[in-house]
Amino acid sequence: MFEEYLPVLILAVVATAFAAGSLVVSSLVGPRVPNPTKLSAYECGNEPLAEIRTTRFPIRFYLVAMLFLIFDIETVFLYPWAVVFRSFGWFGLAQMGVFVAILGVAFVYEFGRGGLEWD
Amino acid sequence: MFLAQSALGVPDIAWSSFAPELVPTTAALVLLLLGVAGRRRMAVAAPVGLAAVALGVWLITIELNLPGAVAVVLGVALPALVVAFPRTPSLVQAWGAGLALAGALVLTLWQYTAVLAPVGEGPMLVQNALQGSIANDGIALFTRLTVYVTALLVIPMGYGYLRQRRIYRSEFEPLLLLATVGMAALGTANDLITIFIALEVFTLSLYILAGWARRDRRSEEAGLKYFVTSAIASAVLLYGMALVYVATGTVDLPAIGLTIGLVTTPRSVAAIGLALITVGVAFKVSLAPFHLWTPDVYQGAPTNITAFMAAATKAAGFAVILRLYLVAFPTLEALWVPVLSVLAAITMLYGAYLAIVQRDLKRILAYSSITHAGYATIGVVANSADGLSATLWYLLTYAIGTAAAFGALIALERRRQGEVTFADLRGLGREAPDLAAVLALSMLSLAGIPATAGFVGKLMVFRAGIDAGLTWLVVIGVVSSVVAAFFYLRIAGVMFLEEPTGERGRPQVSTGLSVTVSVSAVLVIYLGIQPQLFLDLASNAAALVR
Amino acid sequence: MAEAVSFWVFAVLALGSALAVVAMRNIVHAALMLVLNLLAIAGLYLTLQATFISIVQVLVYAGAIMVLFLFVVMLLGVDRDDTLTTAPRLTAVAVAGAALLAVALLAAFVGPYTSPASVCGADTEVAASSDAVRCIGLDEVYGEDGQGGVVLLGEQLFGRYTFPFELAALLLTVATIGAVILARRRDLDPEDLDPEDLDGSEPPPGAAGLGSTSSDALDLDPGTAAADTELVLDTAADDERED
Repeated sequence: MFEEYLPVLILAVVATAFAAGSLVVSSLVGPRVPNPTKLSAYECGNEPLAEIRTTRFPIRFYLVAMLFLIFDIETVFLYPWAVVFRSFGWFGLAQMGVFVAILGVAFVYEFGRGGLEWD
Repeated sequence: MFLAQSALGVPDIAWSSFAPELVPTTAALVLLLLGVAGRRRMAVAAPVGLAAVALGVWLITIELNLPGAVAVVLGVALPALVVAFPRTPSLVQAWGAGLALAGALVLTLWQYTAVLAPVGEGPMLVQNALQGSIANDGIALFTRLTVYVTALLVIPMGYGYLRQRRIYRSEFEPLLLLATVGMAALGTANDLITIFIALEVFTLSLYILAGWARRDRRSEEAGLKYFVTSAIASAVLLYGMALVYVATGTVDLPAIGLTIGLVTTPRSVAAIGLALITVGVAFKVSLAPFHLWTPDVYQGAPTNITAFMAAATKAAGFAVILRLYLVAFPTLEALWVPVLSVLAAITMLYGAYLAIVQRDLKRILAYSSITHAGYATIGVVANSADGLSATLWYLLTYAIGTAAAFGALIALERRRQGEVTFADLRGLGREAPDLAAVLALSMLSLAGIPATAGFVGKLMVFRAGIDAGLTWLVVIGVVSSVVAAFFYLRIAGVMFLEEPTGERGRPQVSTGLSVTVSVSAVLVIYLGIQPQLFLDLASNAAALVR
Repeated sequence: MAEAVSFWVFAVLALGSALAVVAMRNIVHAALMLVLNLLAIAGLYLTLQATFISIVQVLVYAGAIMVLFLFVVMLLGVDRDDTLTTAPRLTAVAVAGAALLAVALLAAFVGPYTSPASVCGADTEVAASSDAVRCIGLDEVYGEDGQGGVVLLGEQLFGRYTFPFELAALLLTVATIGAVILARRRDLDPEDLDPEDLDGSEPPPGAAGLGSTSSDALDLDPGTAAADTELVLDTAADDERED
C-alpha cells in the first residue's frame, strides 16, 4: 500500500523544497537596499498603536472556534455514516436523524442565545 | 477481535432497557429550547406535548400502560405549565424538570417490576441490551434510583437559592437533567466506550455547574479546578482503558473478564491498564490521595450544585467502580483488592481527621463525603454479592442524608448571605427548631447512629468487609466512624446546647426547600426504621450481567 | 521495509516533538511543537493503514483543536517574558511519575511481546492457532477493508455502538451550552428573569436588600450590578466570625 503514498511523499518533498528554496534563493540573489521607511514596522500605513502582546483577543473568537469544533466533530461522524448507511437502511437513517436532531436543538439554543452575534 | 464481538447489521433495540433515560433527555432538550423561546414558548410546548400524548396513547394501545401514562401526563403537563406560569418561565423550567425526573423514577420502578422482576425468591433477572452496550442489572437499578431521587430533591431545593443569589439561568435545569442522564447511563454502561462517554457527559455538565456563579471567585475557582483535575483523571482513565484493550482485544466488560483469564493475554499490560483505571476512578469518587480537589470545589460551587455533586456523583462513580472491578477484573483480584483497601483506609482516616479541623460547614461536608467514599469502598473490596448490595444501599442512604444536610445549609446560607460556620449554628435549635432537627437528623444519619438510614448502610458495609476477611479494614472504618461522629455530633450539639449570638432573624426556608428537606428527613428515618423493602431490593440487586 | 522506515521516522518525530512541547519556554513554540506531534501521530495512523483516523486527526486535532489552543494563548495575551516556571519539587515528582510509568510500560510490553513464546511476526495462521501471547494483527482488522478502516468503523459505530453514539450527541450539546455560558459577558440574561421580577411588583424571595426599584433589578451592567446583586462571600465571612 505504500506505493500509493509515493505521490504524497513526492508532493511533500517538492513543496518543502520550493518553500525553502525560494527563501534561500531570494536571500542569495536579491538586491538589498535598506532605507528607514522600508525598515519600519509597516512600509505603509500607521505605526502600530500597541505591542501585540499586550492586546488580548475578545473571547468571541474563542466561542466561534469552540462552536466550529463541535459541529466539525458532527461532520466527522457523518463521513463513516455516509459510507455504510445503505447497509443499515431505515435504522441507520433514524440513528443519524436523532443525532443531528439533538445537535440541531443545540444549534437553535445557541442561535437563540445570541451565540452567533458579534455585538 | 474487534469484529468477532458482534454480528453486523441492525442491532435489536430493547427500548425498555433505556426508557428511564429517554424522559430526562427529551425534557432537557425541550427545556433548553423553552429557555430561549421567549414569547414563543407555546409554539415549542404545544407540538412537543401533542407528540408526547400521541406517543403515550400508542404505547397504551400496545399494552405498555405505565410508560404510556407517563408520556401522556408529561405531554399534557408541558403546555399546561406554560399556560399556568405565563409570567414566571423559571417555574416552568423547574416544574418541567421535576416532573421529568419523577417520570424517569416511575419508569425505573416499572422496569424493575415489569421487565427485571425477580422470579420467586431468586435474584432479579438481568438483561443485556443493545449488543452488550447496556446492562440492566442491580447496579443500573440502584444508580438510577439514587441519581433520579437526588436530582428530584435538588431542583426544588435550589430554585429559590439560585434566584436569590441572582445566578439563575434557564440552562440550569437542562444541564442538571443531562448530568443525571450521563450518570444513569454510566450505571448501565457495559463496555469501556459507553463508560467513557457517559462519564464525560456528566462531568462536563458538572464543570459548568460548579462554575455557575461567575462573579463569585470561589465558584470560578471551583469550576476551573474541577475541570483541570477531572480532565487529567479522564485522560489517565482513558489511557488505562486503551491498555486493557491492547491486552484483551475487546472493550466489552464481560468479555474482558473472560479474556484476562486466558494464558494468551499479556497480564502485565492489563495490570498497568488496571492501575491507571484505578487512579482515574479514584479521582472521580475522591479517594485519598486523589481527593485534593474535593474540598475547594465543594466549597466554591453553589450549594445546591454541591449537594448534587456530593450525592449523585458518588453513586455514578461507584457504579462504574463496581462494574469494572467485579465484572471486568475479577481475575486480577490479587492486584486490586489490596490497593483499593489501602486507598479506602487512607481515605477514611484522612477524611475524618481533616473534617475535624474545618470551620466552614461546606468544607466539613466535603471531607465527610471523602470519608464516606472510603466506607463505600469497603463493600467493593469485599468482592462479594453482599459487598455489592451493601455498597449500593450505602450510596443511596448517603445520598439522601447528604441532600438533607445541604438543604439545611442552603437555608442558613440564604440568611447569612455567605459561608456558614459554627457561629451560625449557635442556638439554631431555639430559633428554627424544625430546620435544626433536620440538620441534626442528617448528621446522625451520616454519623451512622442507629434508627437512621446511615446506620443500616454502615452495618451492611462493615459486615460484608468482615465476611470477606478484611477485619483490619473494618477496624479502621470503625475508628474513622468514631472520629467522624465527633464532628457530626458537634454540629448537632452547637445547635441545641449553645446560646444564639446576636440578632439574625429566621433562616429563609422557601416552600420548595422545606418540602425537599422534609422529604429527605422522612426518608432518612423511614430507611432507618423500615429498611426491609429496600434491603430486599438491594440483595436482589446483587445479580450482575457478567 | 517502507512500513518500518515510516514508523521509525514518525515515532522519533512524535517523541521528540512531545518532549519539546514540555521543554519549550515560549508557549507559542510549545503549541507549534504540539502541532508537529499531532501530525506525527497522524503519520503513525497512516502507517497502521488507518487512513480515516489519520485524516480526522489532522482535521480535528492539528486543525481545529490547535486553533483553539492558540486562541486561548491569544486570549491570555502572548507575553514573551512570561516564561513558564513550575516548582522544582513538582517537576521532580512529575518526571519521576512519568519515568515510573515508562519503565512499567516497557517492562510490560517487552516481556510478553518479545519472548520466544510470543508469535508476533509469525504468519497470521500460526498466530491464530497458537496459545502464545496474541498480537492483534493489522491485517485482520483492516487488511481486506481497503478503505482505511472507514467501513469497519461505520459498521461498528452504527451497529454495536449505537448507544454511545447518541450519547456523544448529548455530550456535544453540553459542550455547546458550556461554550455559550462561558463566553457570555453577563451573569444574568434579561430573558431569564421572570417578567414578574422585572415589574418589581413581587421581588424574588430575599431580594429586599438587593435594590427594590425596578430600575435596579434591570440594571445588569457588570460594573454596577456586581457588587450588590451577587453574594459577596469574602466580606460577609468576616462579620460574625468568632473563635
